[in-house]
Amino acid sequence: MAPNEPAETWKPNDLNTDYDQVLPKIITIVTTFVKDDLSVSQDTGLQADIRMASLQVMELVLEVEDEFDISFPLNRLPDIHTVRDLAQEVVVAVNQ
Amino acid sequence: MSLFDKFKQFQDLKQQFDGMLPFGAVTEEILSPTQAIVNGQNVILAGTNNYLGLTFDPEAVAAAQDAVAENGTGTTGSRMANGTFAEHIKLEQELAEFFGTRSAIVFSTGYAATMGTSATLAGPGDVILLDADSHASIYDGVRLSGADIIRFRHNDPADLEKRLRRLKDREGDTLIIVEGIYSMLGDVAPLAEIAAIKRDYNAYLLVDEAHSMGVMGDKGRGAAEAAGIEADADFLVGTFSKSLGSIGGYCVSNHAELELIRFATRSYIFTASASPSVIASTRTTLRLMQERPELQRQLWKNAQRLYAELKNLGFEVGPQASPVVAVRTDDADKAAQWWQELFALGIFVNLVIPPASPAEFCLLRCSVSAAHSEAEIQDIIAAYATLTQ
Repeated sequence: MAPNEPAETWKPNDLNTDYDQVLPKIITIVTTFVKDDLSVSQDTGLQADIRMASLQVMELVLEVEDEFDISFPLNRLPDIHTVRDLAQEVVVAVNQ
Repeated sequence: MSLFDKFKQFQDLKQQFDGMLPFGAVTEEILSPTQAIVNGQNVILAGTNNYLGLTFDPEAVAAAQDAVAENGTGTTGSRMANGTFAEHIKLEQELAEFFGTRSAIVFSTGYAATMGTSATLAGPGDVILLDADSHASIYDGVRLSGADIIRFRHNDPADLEKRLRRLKDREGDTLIIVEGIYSMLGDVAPLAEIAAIKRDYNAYLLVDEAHSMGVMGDKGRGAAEAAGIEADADFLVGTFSKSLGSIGGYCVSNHAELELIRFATRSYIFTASASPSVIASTRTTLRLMQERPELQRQLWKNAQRLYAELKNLGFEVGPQASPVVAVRTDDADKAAQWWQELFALGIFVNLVIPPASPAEFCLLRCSVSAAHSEAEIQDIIAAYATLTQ
């Protein structure tokens, strides 16, 4: 499956959820925060490329929590620099 | 890469507002609770949080003067060392009596009270659920706590409930933090709904009453009193620097453990205690606030008038009338221009720009006082009206 194609069979809290299933959803959410025509990929930097302010990153977390029905404490944000970092953390949270 | 690179954003901001006053305004002379000379200009003070207008009350001024004469200008030490004077204990007793709680802690500032309790009550392994629009002192505190920090959407009990549900068996170790009145838009927390959710999930609730103590409730105890949920509020925190016209903060609680929390709260332990004059004037204004319920009625009369008139003028104001009346614009340059025009017309308000504002918009924020005369409120309205022309 291509990274940008959502998995039709994916459900929240699916214990088999893995990175390739999470990433497209993350990219879709992150794209809503992009103000120019930047194409979001797993390598996109939330602050370096999209220039998201800390408040926007916290708003992004709210959206991600709701999309995946997870708790995502803000304490984890210092380690989140790219879309990939975020997707990897979500995979961990979904499978907990 | 330099140590100072991260400050460049403030250099940019400084250049954007170069020559403008809002962030460098100097109050040269305070004429009354509602008037001053700022940068050579006579102004009506419409952004001071002096809700009850008690800063020049003769009894409070005399009490402060007497305290300086009797106990000196400062305590020169922390509460845990040499800085607990008999008057600090009396104020704590009076606060506990006022709120009907088992005990109270007095802090040197409101920031120290809110930040310190937010940092201390929950710790590693616990969870803090905070309203997204919480004050910076709460965000600063929870970051120090070591607890898992989760935001819920502003004033949205259903969103809070959803996030509590996700915690599953961790909910009993959870501290919910909300404010009574939010400082930027003046909206009131739906405390009855939040308290019901808190009960359902067996969580703890802290309410920051900084902008609602003296402003809400029949006795002036704040938004928790007004909502009838004081029994559900495990901790109430607040400040003396708004309705009580001095400086300092408090935390009150019915939990016996508050006296243990005192020993763990670093913003209480490792700072000098409030000076005798501050404690004396605070004790006086706490009493005056209870003796003069008409001040709260006048405050709301002024607030409702200003809110209604600015709304009628077509300004985008907060969601409900309260003593914080904020006009919103998405254009930072326009906000700065409006601030300058209001100042030139003799009206001093707060200019709030991101990141101090709750989102990406700017605010021209008024805080109304019971001490504002009808003529002063009219002058504020008339000045805002010129912005629409």
